[in-house]
Amino acid sequence: MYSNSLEQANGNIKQQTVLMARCLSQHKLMDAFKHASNMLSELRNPLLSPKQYYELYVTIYDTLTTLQQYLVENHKTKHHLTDLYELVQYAGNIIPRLYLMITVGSAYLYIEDSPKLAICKDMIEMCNGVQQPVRGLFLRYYLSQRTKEFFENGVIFIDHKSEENIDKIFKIDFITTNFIEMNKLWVRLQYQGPLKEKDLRTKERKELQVLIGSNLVRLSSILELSDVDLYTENVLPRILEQVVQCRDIIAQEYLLEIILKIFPEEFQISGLTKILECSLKLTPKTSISKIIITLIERMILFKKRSADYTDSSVFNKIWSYLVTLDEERPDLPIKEFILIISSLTQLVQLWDAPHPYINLDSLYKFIFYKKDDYTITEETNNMLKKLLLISSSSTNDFFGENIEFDAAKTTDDLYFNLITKCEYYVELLVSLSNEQLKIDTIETIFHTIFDNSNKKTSKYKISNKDHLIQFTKMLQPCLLENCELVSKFFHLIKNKNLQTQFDLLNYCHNWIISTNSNRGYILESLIVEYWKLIRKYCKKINTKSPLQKSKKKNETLTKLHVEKIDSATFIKQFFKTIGRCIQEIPNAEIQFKMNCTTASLADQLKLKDLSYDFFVNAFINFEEMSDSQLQYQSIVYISQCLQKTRSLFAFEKNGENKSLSTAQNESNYYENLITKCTLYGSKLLNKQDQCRSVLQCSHLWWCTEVPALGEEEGVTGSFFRDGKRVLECLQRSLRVADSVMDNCTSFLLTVEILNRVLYYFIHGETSYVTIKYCNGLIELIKTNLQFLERETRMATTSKNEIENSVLNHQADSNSALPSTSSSAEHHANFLTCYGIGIDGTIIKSFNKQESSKLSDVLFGKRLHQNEHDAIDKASAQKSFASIAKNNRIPIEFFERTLNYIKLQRTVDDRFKLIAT
Amino acid sequence: MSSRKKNILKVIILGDSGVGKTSLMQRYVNGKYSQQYKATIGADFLTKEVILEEDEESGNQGAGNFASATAGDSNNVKSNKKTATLQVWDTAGQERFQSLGVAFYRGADCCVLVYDVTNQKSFEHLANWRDEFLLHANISSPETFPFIILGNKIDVDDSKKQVSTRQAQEFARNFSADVASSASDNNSFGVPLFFTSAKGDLNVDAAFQKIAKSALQQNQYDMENNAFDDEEFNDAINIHLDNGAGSCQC
Repeated sequence: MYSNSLEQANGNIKQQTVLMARCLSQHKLMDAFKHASNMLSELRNPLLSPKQYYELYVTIYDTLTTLQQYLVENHKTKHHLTDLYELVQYAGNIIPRLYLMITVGSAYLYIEDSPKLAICKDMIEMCNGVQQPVRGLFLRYYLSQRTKEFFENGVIFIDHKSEENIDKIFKIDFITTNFIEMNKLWVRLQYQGPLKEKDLRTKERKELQVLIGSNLVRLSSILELSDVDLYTENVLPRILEQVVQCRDIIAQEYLLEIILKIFPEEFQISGLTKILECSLKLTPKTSISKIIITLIERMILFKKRSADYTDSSVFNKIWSYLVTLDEERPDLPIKEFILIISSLTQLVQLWDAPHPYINLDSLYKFIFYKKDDYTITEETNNMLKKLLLISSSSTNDFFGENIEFDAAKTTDDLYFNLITKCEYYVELLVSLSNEQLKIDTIETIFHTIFDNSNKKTSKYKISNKDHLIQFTKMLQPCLLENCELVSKFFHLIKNKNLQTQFDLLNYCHNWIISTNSNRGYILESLIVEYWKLIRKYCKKINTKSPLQKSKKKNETLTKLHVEKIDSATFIKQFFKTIGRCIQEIPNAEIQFKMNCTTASLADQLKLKDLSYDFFVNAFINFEEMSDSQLQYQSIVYISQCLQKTRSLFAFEKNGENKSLSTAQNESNYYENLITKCTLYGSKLLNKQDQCRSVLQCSHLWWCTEVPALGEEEGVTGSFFRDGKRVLECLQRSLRVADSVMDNCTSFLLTVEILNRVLYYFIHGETSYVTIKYCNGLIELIKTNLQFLERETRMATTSKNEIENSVLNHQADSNSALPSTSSSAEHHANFLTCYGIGIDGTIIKSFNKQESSKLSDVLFGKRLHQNEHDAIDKASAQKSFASIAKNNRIPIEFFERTLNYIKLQRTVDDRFKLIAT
Repeated sequence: MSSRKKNILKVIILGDSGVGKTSLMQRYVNGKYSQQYKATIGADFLTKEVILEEDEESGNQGAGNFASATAGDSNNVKSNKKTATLQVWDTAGQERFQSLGVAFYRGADCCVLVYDVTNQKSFEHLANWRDEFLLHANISSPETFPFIILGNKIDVDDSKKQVSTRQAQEFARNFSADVASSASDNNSFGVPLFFTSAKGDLNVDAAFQKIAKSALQQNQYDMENNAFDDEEFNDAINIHLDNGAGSCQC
């Protein structure tokens, strides 16, 4: 009888254990057997779940161990084990009977002269008597546990040591037989009981699986490394036969996983083909990918542990398997294939390093064509994304080692190599049917490449056309979506041969043009690459020539000559390409800026004709602009560019070896351009803009030093300066300022002009900008101020007092800060810092301080805006708005200038003559 | 208890997968080490006969004192040498493979927690393993139950080590702080800590000597406290030998 509850059963087992121990101490063996049998009856309970059954089993096992110890110790002295083996056969119930029989039988195995073979055979034979799955499984597990020690510790079942192998085969046969029977019981359990309990059966079976697996563990512990052939030819085929024949999903998946995990890697490699073949014969619903992935992970770990091991056949075996799988299992979902390929790519990376790309390409090619046979779902797309990002992480931490692959970490250049070396990697990526997913994937890949290319300067450059074609093919989907990415990508293009580099850039150019894309910004960044190329090219020619001269004089001279002509045409070609690019930009403002900067670059390279043409283009762009604000800013921009040019004018003195006419023509370039610029400025719609533009343009006749060119004020003598024209500009802007309707604005503009007049005065233009002129201007402003004050006093007498105090306060604070420079100096700073960087970019020459000054100037400009200016009204600053509303005179600007003059007197005597 | 000449001492080895539980057991029981990696599924044991010297205090290698030592010492003052069968249970580090549960924790006399000195996580998980063990082992007095910590793989290069000796000692010293119930008199006591290498055969025997000793003390302590009163089962009323009327014959 067995107990009704687990608790009772445990109690009973405890009780019987104590009673049995007591009997044994009194040498009442028969009674001891009775108690043991009582205890074992608990294992007959059919209602126990596998876990409960195991709980009882564990306790009973311990008790039976005590019994077995007694039996071994008292063999021969009190009883003979042969007799006992007979005796226990008389137990009424089969479960207690067989447990006792195995206990006695295995005790007998400890005795030296016992008939071990016969005992083992008999015990396993008798186990057939129990066919109820759970009980049968535990009974056979008991047999396995009791015999384990003999098997593992090499107790020989034969007489002669020379027949060791026979001994081993006997053990293998014994364990395998037990395994086969257990597997059958296990599978049969699935079909027991009512159909509605199917899930419960599945759960129970999964709990019991470890019992079946334990047999394979035994086999694994018996086989030594030298038994690899025995494993491959004997053990493995027999196990696999069972795996295939049982036609049971749980059994197939579990057993194959166990086989792959409990046998050493050497065995796995040897048995690889057999396992693969087996996986082709599984039931249709068994997950092939699970098995193959486990197998591959094992290979990966093996390679990690023993890096020296090389065996190229592993990939070939799996590859031909894949081909067969493709043919034989058209029913397999694409998911399975993707999973297998994913993990296989990781294997290939490791096993075939450092040249895994041919094999990798085969894998991508396989999946590329394979996916055409299926309808692609979101899930498939996501899996393909994972495959492409090499980011599949193992769900398996069974080996306590990290199998995760982080593509970015493991191999820095992985993506780069995949794109350039695996044709089908790109094909597969581009063929993703979900656009957003595709772009996300591409972006991820590129960001990794960018990050890596930042780390190391030399590697990861696109230096040949084939690579470039691959990259552009991949970037195609991003062309419309992500300009930034494409722009960044251009930076990767680098070839030391500049001619090739030029070809590569041209390829990109054609690529952009051929796709009707949002080309403006992309072309902009491509032009920057062309600028870089030109700079590099010129630098190379300049450094090359002296070296060659020193080598062979006569030969190289002619060669050099040829080269120089060549290089001249090249450079011309470069610029022409840029010109074409600029024309293709669909935005006049960007075109204008590009033209200006390119013109500056050409000027710096002393290519005056080209420079001139680009400036002319810039003016054409200017004419296309309709926004007056933009036009004003453009005048400021181009005048800055022009002021820095050096090649556009030629001094007659230097033009000795040129004909007079060309020299004159060339000097006209600059004159033409600056006159045009000033003219455009004076024709702007808004009078303030006119005034300020012309004021700004006055600098075009007053060249200032560019330290980067080695110029220095006072040392360099060849500055282009024309005081007369400067004065003309000043006069012109003064006239405009005077004609402005609003008195306040007019006043402001006049102060600005005074500031600039002082600038020229300080910087040595005294022949036209005289002390008298300065004084006259100040006088004019003061007179205007009187008018203004009278005007406002009548309008707002009541507010006067408050305002005065405010103004005084401001004046105080101004004088308290003597370092506050005039706005003229602000402008001067602005001019010197704003320009083209050495690398051809516009922004680079700013540092923080300077750019803040720049914004000051721009901000100041806004402050001065007329309230009637419709365009700027909305954006006008609050302070300015309040000035305009109250009709307050911006006297502080004038005060500041006067203060400056006063301060200047301490260092410059001339200022004493200027009346404040 | 005099009838039981040999004690069976049950020792459970726990720890993350890959820390070397099987290797340690194989090294100790069979004196073997294999470079090959074979995963463990489920749980199984190996046995080894041990001879223990009772009175001699051998715990120099360990960090801290073993609290239940007093209980064990008082019990076996007379015998100097004692043989016992050590039943060493090797377990799968991955729970998935303990599909039948951990009923075998019950009746354990000592629990060995193993971590890999080159794997920080395996060290961090020790507390989880301890709690897991106490939860399922049905221990009568967890505060005095003997645990032993082994930091395995010390043969590897120092550069690969992730867990410092100090960290481990700290953990061993404060081991019971969160186990000990408030009723316990011991403010805090440490557990022995050994640095071992199954591969290099470093310290393995010493560690298992300590394990066996602790297990024996625990075993005898349990016998003292939980031994069935002889009166209880005097009349074996419930004994039915082979007379299960109405039950089937299998």
